[in-house]
Amino acid sequence: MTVSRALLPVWGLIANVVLQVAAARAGMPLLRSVFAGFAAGSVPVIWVSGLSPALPGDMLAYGCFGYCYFHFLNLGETARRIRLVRELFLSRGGLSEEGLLARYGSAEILSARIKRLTDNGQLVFRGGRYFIGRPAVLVMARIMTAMKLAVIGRKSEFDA
Amino acid sequence: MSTLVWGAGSFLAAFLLHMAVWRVRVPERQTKVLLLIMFAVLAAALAFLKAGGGRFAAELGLPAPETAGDFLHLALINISLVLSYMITYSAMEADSPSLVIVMAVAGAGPDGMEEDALRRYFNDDRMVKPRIRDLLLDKLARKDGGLYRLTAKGRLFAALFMSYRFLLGRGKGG
Repeated sequence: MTVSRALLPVWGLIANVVLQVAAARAGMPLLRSVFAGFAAGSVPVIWVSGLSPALPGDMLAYGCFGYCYFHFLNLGETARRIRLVRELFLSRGGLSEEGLLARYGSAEILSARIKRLTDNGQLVFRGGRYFIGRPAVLVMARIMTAMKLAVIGRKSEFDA
Repeated sequence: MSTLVWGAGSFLAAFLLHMAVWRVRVPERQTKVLLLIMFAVLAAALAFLKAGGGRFAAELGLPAPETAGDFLHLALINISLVLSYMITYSAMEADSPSLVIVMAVAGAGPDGMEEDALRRYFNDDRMVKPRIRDLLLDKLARKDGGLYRLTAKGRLFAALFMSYRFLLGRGKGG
């Protein structure tokens, strides 16, 4: 295998990123642009790899890079640490803990998540109470809890 | 196929080593130790193959990489798996608010859950202060005279995410 051929999953990732950014800037919803970019980037990988023995490895590496890119975008979208870093970056002189909490507190975090979960039907608000709607995020939560127990040995970061 | 066998195989070996270490004691700086284990095993696998281990593997019927491109492909497969695991692991280290909300609502049973009950659980002590402490632990920020300030690493981190969100035309996030 040549060096440039070995880099095929990286070329696929570059195509994925370029097309995802173009689609998002053209107004496509973020999640849809991620799927569109991933599908577009897989075309050159499958095309060049063909039915060669390298195809499973190429697709595995490309799939993993696509998964990482999705999480990179998701971190920017939802991660509390990234938002805190942003608030500190914009403050210039630094912020006290109270200052940070005033700019980004638990009330805002909860409201943003409840809105996202109700908007996409994962939670349903009825008669002043929340209920589970579609079960996709609940299934993910249960898988993540099982993984935490298996790897770290606890269900939550607050467990002793 | 040899690159897939050795790339994924060395990741699996590193994963088992990480699980063994974690059974003894979960390190304080988990990400750093995890990266060290993952890349040390990859380096050991590459060194083994380069030093003639490929011939030994071939005798056992295992395919072995031969060209520079094969070794690069092997490393790419391994690195893609390592990065995917690292990013999944970071989601295991800290509780995700969305997943906690959904678990709490599911746990409340058929009567559902009032928003006030969620707000009582989701306070700053649980949702924000641990992440502020993480900034210090990961050396993204330092605390001077009661003020949190970004380190050079933190400024780079902020610039990367802010510029990418600007490129995508997105808002503040969080």
